[in-house]
Amino acid sequence: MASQKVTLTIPQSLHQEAKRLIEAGYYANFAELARAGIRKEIKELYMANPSLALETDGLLYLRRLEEIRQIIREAGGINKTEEEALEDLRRIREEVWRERYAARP
Amino acid sequence: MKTFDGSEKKFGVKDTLLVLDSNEYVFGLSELKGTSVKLLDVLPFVEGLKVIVPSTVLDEAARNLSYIHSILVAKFNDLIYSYEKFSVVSDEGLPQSLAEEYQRLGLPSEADARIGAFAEWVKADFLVSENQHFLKGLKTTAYQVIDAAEALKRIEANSLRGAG
Repeated sequence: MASQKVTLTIPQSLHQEAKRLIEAGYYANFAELARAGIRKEIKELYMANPSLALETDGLLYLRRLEEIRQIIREAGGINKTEEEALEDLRRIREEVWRERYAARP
Repeated sequence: MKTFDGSEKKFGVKDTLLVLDSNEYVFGLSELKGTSVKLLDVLPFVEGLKVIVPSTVLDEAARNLSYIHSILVAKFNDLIYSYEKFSVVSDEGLPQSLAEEYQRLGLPSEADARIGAFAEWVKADFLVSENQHFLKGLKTTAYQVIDAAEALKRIEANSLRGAG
């Protein structure tokens, strides 16, 4: 992944708050916090104001992703533990495999 | 959907190729697991990365999502087919001998073995899964098996590069 070094000047209070979160273990370092914050801000802005977004593949993807998640939330979510969901997927994998391949000579 | 004849090289010479197991899509879309959610979220921001989607995995994830709401099948297909980072590849032509080899490599279920074999067949660098059968049982040197948490760590560290 190509990267670009950026130098930030931020208010001391914001810096102190960031340090507090890093020390509490929420982020490994300041760069990780900054990356997470920028991603979150971009995502929220474009979700709230689609006209702000250029129609790039990535932004369109994020909107579609959010639309799917919203449908799932409104349907009440998956309502399973991770292990139950994995068990469902194992069963579905076997079903799909049987339908596609098991009957073949 | 692309077809794959086994002789094709990587789709992009410098791209890192990931195969995500169906559980990553289901966990990430249903927000069941935070690391899977984040992995789907950050994909647009990772340069040099391609996700190869086995047609079987696409069907598995879509079928699972259909139990939540029928409209999700079309929405999920739109998401995958319309985004340039994803390439859906049919696994119809996967050599049976390679699938059988993966049964010997630690995936006794034929259905699991086909997914393991598929990742080698398309010359993937990583298979990302929360399935412990893959994470703990599979012994292959063709690619690395990691979970979403490990994939995210490597993306953050800029070290999501080829296996080996």
